[in-house]
Amino acid sequence: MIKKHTYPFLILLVLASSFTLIQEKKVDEVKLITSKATFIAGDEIRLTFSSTYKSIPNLYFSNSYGSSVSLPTKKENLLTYDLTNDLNNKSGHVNWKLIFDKEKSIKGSFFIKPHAEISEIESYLGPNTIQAGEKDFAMMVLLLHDEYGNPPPDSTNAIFKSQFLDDISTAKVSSSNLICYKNFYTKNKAGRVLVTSESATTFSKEYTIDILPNVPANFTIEAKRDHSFADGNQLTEFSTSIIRDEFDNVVSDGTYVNFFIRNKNDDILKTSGVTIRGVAVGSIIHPDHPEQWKVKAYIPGMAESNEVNLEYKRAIKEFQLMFDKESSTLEVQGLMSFMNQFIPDGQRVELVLRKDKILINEFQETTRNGQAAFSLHDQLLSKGTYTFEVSVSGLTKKIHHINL
Amino acid sequence: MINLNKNIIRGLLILTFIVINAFLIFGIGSVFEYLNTGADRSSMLHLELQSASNYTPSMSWSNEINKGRVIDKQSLQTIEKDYLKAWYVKHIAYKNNNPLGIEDYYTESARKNIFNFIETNENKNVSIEATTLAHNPTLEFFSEDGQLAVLTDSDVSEYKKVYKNDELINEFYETSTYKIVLLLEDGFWRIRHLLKTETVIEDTIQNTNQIALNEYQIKGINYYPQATPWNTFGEEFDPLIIAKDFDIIKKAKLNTIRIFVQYNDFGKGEVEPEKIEKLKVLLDLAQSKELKVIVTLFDFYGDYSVLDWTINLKHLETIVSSFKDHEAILAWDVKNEPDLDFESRSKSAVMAWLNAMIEGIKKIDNKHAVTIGWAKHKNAYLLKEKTDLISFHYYEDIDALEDVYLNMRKELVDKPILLGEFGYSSYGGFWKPFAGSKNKQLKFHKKVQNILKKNKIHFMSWTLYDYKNVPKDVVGNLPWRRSLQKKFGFVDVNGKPKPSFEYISY
Repeated sequence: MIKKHTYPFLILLVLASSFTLIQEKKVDEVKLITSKATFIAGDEIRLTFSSTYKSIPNLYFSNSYGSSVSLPTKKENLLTYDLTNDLNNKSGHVNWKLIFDKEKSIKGSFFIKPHAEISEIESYLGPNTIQAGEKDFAMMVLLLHDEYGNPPPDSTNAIFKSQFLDDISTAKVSSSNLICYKNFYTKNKAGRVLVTSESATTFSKEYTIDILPNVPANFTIEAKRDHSFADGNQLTEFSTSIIRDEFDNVVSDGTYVNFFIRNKNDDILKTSGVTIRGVAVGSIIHPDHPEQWKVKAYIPGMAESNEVNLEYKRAIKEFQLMFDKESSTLEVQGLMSFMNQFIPDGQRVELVLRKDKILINEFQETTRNGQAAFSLHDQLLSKGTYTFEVSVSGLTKKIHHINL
Repeated sequence: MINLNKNIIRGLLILTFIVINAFLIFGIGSVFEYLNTGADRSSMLHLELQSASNYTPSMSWSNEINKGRVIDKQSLQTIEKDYLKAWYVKHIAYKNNNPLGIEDYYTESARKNIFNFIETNENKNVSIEATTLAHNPTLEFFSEDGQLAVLTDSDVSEYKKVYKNDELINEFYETSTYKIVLLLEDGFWRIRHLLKTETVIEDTIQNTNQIALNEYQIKGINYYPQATPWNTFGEEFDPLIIAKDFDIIKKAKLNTIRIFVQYNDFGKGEVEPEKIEKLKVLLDLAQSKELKVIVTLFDFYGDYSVLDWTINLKHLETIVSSFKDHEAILAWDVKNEPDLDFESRSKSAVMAWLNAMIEGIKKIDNKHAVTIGWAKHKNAYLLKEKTDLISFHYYEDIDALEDVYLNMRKELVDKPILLGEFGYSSYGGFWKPFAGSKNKQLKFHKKVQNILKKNKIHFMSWTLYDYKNVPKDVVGNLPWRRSLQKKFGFVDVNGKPKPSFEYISY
């Protein structure tokens, strides 16, 4: 009887003691219950842990921009950390560490994907002026964003459109490294290219690329003058042909053209002009003595013109010299131009005064009404033979005067 | 009698007059001094952000060719400079929960995210002290007009300390990879997007590569030239004197010296080439005399703050990489007696700093041992997995030394142990009569050498010379402490060996 009860009792005892043994061995445990490892921006983000610890641990977490610490709401053995507000819908990798104390912690991570829909396009275009031709290009870079400002994952498509004259072209580009970009190559023709972009149902604003003419090619010039006399009064006008680049685009208005004039003595005269609709005009006054000019135009460092030769004939045929002894005045008279008109006022008259073949002095006067006069009474003081040599417009005459 | 009284009263009056005046002048003086204190005027200009070298993590650019325009060196340097400043201002902002400077380096839409975190952390009374130690950027894209750049910064090594309610709750390393879009705005490269693509948290950096001393028995001495104690590499650096001293050390049957590299004196982050040259001269001399050298870094440094780390590491990298192949080097001593700063700078800050610096050394030099010159033997177990040589200083009861050593020996098993400093001042003058004498010093060293010989302990005594002057930064201003410190040498101020010289080694 006793034996009969002893065995079950013993078994019970063993079972009971093993049960308490198990209970004693049991240690505190903490486990992540949330199984989701990927969230989408805009989702509620909650991490739930089951914990048998009495203490309430801080959850450290860190996303792309910063890190913080969060406390849970506790329900029985469940700790729930709500990170929705703190993470502020920013995409990227988030790592966390549940901190019990300095030694005891568990860690993990999850990923927040950007929202699938593109709702904003930020576009950058540069440079916005390029040269006509083949090599140059402008680049458009797009930053696509979802409604929370997150860049989309790689391989998100964007469409670039550009219009030039009658041609509208479209190109599809996939994003990589957080951006989409496309190069818009220049055309042979100068003008404007309008560029725009879109992704899904979002559109960017319109951008303009100005294609400016390339560097000027060589050109020709011609000279225009009213007559070929060297009267020192009229203008000679140089004008260029319509200056174009190698692709036949008229160069930009305001292109600076220098006209270089080389005369008989190899001196250089210069005039200049800027282009309007491809043509530059420069003027210069006629010489006042017979000349031969060689004219050539340059756009410095870029282009040059042909050479044009111009000859200027003497305008004055004859003049007379008269010396008035009473007033010691030398008068130059009869300065007539090519049609026997008075030569224009202001023509230069030069006098070289010699005494007994020795140079004493030189004088200059200008004409008025076809005449000029030199007053010499304070020059002719001593006795001797004086020579007056007068030249006008390259024509020279001499007279002698004996002073007693 | 009356006269005498009068004179006494007169004297008293004059005395009080003088005393009152003295007080008055002192009072006016302190008011004046008080009015002259306060913020430095230069701080009004925010110049601190402009200075070049307050944030210098290692930057290794990959050579990959980017997809956009070919970048020139100068533009890349400008991007690097502004990118690092963006990190720096972010660290400061999160440390103080103050957005100062963020606007300069983050675009309008990016800075909002940082402001959000600052606000959250301020509300929760959380602050994050962090620094990055290494960046490995690749330029992925540079736009044709030079206004936009994309970087991938991989394996950014970041150390973080998390505080809540001003209490450190955790510290760890994070290794992350970021993609960054930068825009050139108003002459600043500003971060437009910052996207973390990967992170791994590590509690500490693991590097357990151990360097053995290979049966080398250290018999050494701590060395300063006699004329320039605590300033070996100053203006009066003289190779002739050092060569002579090394001869003395060699003849005394010693084989190792311990020298000190002062952090500020060497130029902090921008180590002066002239100092490196002097250190090289010293090491070359040591090698020619067949002496090994333990170089103690960061002498007179005591900040340890996380934002100082990158500068510390740059300092250390310049010195260690210059001499990692030098035959004379025996070991790098990270810092002299850092445990003395446990109280003033907090143990955790000092330990984290030591850890980072050991990593810094081991990353460059995997041939030479690393040690820390602990002031107290009970601290010598700290970081024992990371150092190759356990070094402690002993100025306590000499009769206990053997037990202390044997205990450590038992605890540390095979690890080499170095008694890095010990000594006895022979000073027994005005400030501390009967404290020490040359004879007592002799007896001390005789006793120590016996223990050392018996147990084959690596040792380095303090120090070769008596000094005429001890800088007040070393032991403070108190004359009795300074006098004591002057007389630890085996050779007196006149260059004559003291009796203890006989027991400089065994």
